[in-house]
Amino acid sequence: MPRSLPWWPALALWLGLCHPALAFEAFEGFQVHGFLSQGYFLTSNHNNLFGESTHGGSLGFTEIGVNASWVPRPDVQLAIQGLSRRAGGAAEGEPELDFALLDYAAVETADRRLGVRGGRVRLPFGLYNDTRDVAFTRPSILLPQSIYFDRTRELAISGDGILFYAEERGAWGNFMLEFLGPFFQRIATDNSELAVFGFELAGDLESRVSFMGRLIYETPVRGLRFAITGARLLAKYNPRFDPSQDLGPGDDAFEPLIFSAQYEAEHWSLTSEYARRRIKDEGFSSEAFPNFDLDTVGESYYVQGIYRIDPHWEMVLRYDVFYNNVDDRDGSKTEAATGIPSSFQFAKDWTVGVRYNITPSWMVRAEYHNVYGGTLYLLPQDNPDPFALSKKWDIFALLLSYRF
Amino acid sequence: MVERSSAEGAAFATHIPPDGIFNAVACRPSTSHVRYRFTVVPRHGVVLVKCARPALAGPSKGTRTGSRFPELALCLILLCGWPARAVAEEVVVAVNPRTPAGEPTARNTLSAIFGMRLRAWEDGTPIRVYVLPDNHAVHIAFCKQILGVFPHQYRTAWDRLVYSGTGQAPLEVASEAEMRARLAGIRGEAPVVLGSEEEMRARVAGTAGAIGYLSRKMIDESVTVLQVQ
Repeated sequence: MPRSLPWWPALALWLGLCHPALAFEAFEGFQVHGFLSQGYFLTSNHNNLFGESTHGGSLGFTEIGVNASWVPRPDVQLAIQGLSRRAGGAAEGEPELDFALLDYAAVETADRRLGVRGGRVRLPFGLYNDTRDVAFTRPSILLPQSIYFDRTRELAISGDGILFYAEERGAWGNFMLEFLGPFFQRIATDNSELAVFGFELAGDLESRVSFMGRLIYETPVRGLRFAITGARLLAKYNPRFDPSQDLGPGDDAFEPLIFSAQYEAEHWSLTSEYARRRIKDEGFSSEAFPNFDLDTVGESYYVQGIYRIDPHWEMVLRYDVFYNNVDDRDGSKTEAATGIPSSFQFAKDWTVGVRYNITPSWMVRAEYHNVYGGTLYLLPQDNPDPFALSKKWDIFALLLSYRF
Repeated sequence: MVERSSAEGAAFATHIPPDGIFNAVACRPSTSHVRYRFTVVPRHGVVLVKCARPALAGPSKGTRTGSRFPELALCLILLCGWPARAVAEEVVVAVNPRTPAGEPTARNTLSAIFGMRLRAWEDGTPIRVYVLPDNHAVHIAFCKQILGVFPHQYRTAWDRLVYSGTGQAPLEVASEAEMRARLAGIRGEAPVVLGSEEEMRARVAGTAGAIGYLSRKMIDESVTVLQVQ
């Protein structure tokens, strides 16, 4: 059974009822916004998601964020967002600096924008990463995990560096280009090591100069848009012990390429994204871990339909597929060679969900996932024994969310 | 107001006043003149009919009873058959009279302004964008009629800006009356007594870039209607 109810939904309820327009402009050009979400997850077969979720479910998922932005003059913006997140064993609500940036638009007309952003910025990838912690902007409670992998969220959410942007709008459509680089990924905690390698390392994983770019094309056909994202994310391992007890001083390269397409009509939308990821680990192999290096290509895609019945009700149906290694799509080769259960190498997730907008600020959601494979999505912190996990499992989730 | 009847039985008027309401006279061969009141939304046709009492010099009782059914049916169709149209209102873009907007303003400029991607008028005055709540009928009509987008698409765009730190949200007002007051530079319903000329200048300057939208019936001399190209 859930241990204890977090205190904040009551606070949020009070704020929402007493101050329906909490978003405010403290003085001209200065705005404050935020969001709060509380999830409930019930899973089958001892596959724990966000805490112990198989017996009576888990309330171990909370997202709280507050941001402030200031536009001292029309071409300059300063913005900062703090986030507190509870996600099972991966996060316990510690406040974190989500973004803190200075944006300068050198050119800004109705048809064109050119500018630069510096500081801690959101990583521009795919269709949903920019605001992935805000439940209102997600298509479902859990984003399609094949591409928006929550386990490596810390590495994907934001980074420290410089981002250049350019937008051009015309009769032939709108082009929006963002290039982030040089930048460093946020590798701060042992969770990053767990997320990448599946266990905590003795030494330190350190980010190296990385690059990422995204081009969005909004076609002249109203509601139809495409995007392509490419990135080269690098990290370096500094071993703590000698090679007989530790990994070698390795380099980790993650190179995803994501294609996105979306069509939005008044009452429905169709979205699909396809990703191909290359993971290359070099120099990690040591006396203690002789076969650690790898060079694999993974593949992901999902197809998602949303139907808006009316301004209050919305339904979502999605099929989401993940392959960790295209040369071992069913995981049998890996299982034979290493003993790692095949369910870690792929995922096939059917999702059906419903959303109800109580007011423009309050929203509640319910969804069901039928998952085949997908045990790589589960946090090692919540599931200490990888061999005890089931290959076929289900998730039922509820989410209450408020924003201002 | 000029009224004219037609021998063919169609209803039409010769003069449409700016408030969109005019009187028409329908004439059917078998009946006498019947007076209707129509509300017209430009580009959207006739949307509402209010049947007034038949004209004074009516025909015999029997004829009138026989002619009532189609009139009633017409009213029912117009009132019940197209409820969405019956509530549709003409929405116009409104600015503070001192807002230095070019006339007429291009639609893509408005798109950029309400998409919060264009933050200054051509002379450098900051743009202040006011909107009504997402579920307000006038907001929905504004998005669809003037900008050609669905309200949820604008919400998605604003959320993306606000929660990624790359832009700001428009300023939301609760009602059309508040929208008009904000655009006009008046905060709240009560008149504001200003302490000095400097304060007056600051207030006016602060609202000089304001832009929003109102249904046409809300327009008065305190705000300026922006022509859209």
